[in-house]
Amino acid sequence: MSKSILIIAWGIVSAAAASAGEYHVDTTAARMVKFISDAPLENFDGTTSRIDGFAIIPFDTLQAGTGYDSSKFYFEVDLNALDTGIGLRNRHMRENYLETGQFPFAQFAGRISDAVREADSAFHLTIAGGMTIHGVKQPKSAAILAAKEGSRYHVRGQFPVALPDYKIKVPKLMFMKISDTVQVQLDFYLLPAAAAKD
Amino acid sequence: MRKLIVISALAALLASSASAQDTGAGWKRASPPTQPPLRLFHSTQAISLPTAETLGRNVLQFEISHRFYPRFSDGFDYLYGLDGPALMRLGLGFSPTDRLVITLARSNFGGNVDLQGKYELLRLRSTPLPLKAAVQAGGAWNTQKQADRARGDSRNFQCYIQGIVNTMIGKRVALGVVPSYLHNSSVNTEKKENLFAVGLHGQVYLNQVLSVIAEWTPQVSGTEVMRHRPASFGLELETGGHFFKLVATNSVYLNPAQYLAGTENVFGARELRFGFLITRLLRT
Repeated sequence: MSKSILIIAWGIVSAAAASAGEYHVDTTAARMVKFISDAPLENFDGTTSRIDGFAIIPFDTLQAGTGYDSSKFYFEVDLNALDTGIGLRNRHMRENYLETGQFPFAQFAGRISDAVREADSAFHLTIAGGMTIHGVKQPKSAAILAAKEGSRYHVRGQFPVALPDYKIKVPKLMFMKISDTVQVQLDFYLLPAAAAKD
Repeated sequence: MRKLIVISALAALLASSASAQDTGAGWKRASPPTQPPLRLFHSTQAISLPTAETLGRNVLQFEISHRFYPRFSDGFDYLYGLDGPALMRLGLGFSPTDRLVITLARSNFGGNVDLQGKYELLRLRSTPLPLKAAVQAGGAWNTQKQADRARGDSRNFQCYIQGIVNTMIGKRVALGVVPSYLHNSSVNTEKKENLFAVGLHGQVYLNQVLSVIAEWTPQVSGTEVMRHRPASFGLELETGGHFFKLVATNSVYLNPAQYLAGTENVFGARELRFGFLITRLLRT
């Protein structure tokens, strides 16, 4: 009986070892999400470190190719933490446009479509899924770079977000101009889930 | 051997099943959602009276204010009060921290140079009445040359301290009380007088841009400098980095050491004058 238990335990361990790699956003490391508005006469950006989430890949580590059908990711950005450098503008962004009282997070969930090896341990990933901002979900794909650094992946990327697609009113008031499309920059680390729990 | 394979396959299936269910179940949000800072009034000042609001760390605020001498009731000959002359105030404020604002401003009435600091003491998200409290203190130097004294004469200096308590009723009505003490309230007298006034102000936010604003600053003790109590009302427009305040008032005085001393004009339709204030926030 004890032999059977040992065998089962070994089976579970070996099967788990061969199964998906789960990574969480390393919330102890530097994180940055930046929204860049480049409107005529007035450029500004909003930044926050409050990105969190996870990614599950069907391998222990990233591999080149398209075998990511069972992959999964979910990232969220705490919009109440967005700082444009001016408190009044932050409040206008929160209350008048993003309505963060109702919709406190921007969320991006989906799966990895493919991975192209950039260097030994760096991959260009195409990720696709649904992005939810201001309570509106839209299909979204983006290209990001994931580079292995020790046990972690350093993730960086930039993609455009068209505010009208998310039913966000774009202010056209004098002295408060935001471009219809803002660029979103991401820079954070993914840590193996087991290490993240430590 | 067959038994071993079956058990291993079963175990792998169990692990696979566990993995399939583990769609991020191991992930938990690292920290609760951010709570935005408590804001009651939107601007750092009502019309002349201060609110408990500050600017946010490393933000500059430039201010320009005017109060026109002619009255609306002076009619067409004075373009209904817009012809001037006018008193004006230029100011520059800076917040080195989230709770502190230091402002240097000058009014052209008496060349009054005013250096003040405002510190936010308290934020309470209590319901139904949230509360913010601050203290503002400053000194003023009346730099205009006078025949009977040197510019640096001690009679040209004034100082003041103001307590500020703000609250909000619902989401649209903000109220403030500003008990104020002013030392050397009248720079033109030989003796240095003191006075105590209690400023009251309120603001109704009509929408995201527009609000109605009013304030009244009755003097409650001390030597009367001018007979009447300053009162003002008007509209405030706010954009991403600006406030525009358009007001009607019975007082033309702009700096704290001046408006606290009262006004020579009664509050009534015949004595109302036009004034405005524009602020621009700048990120450093």
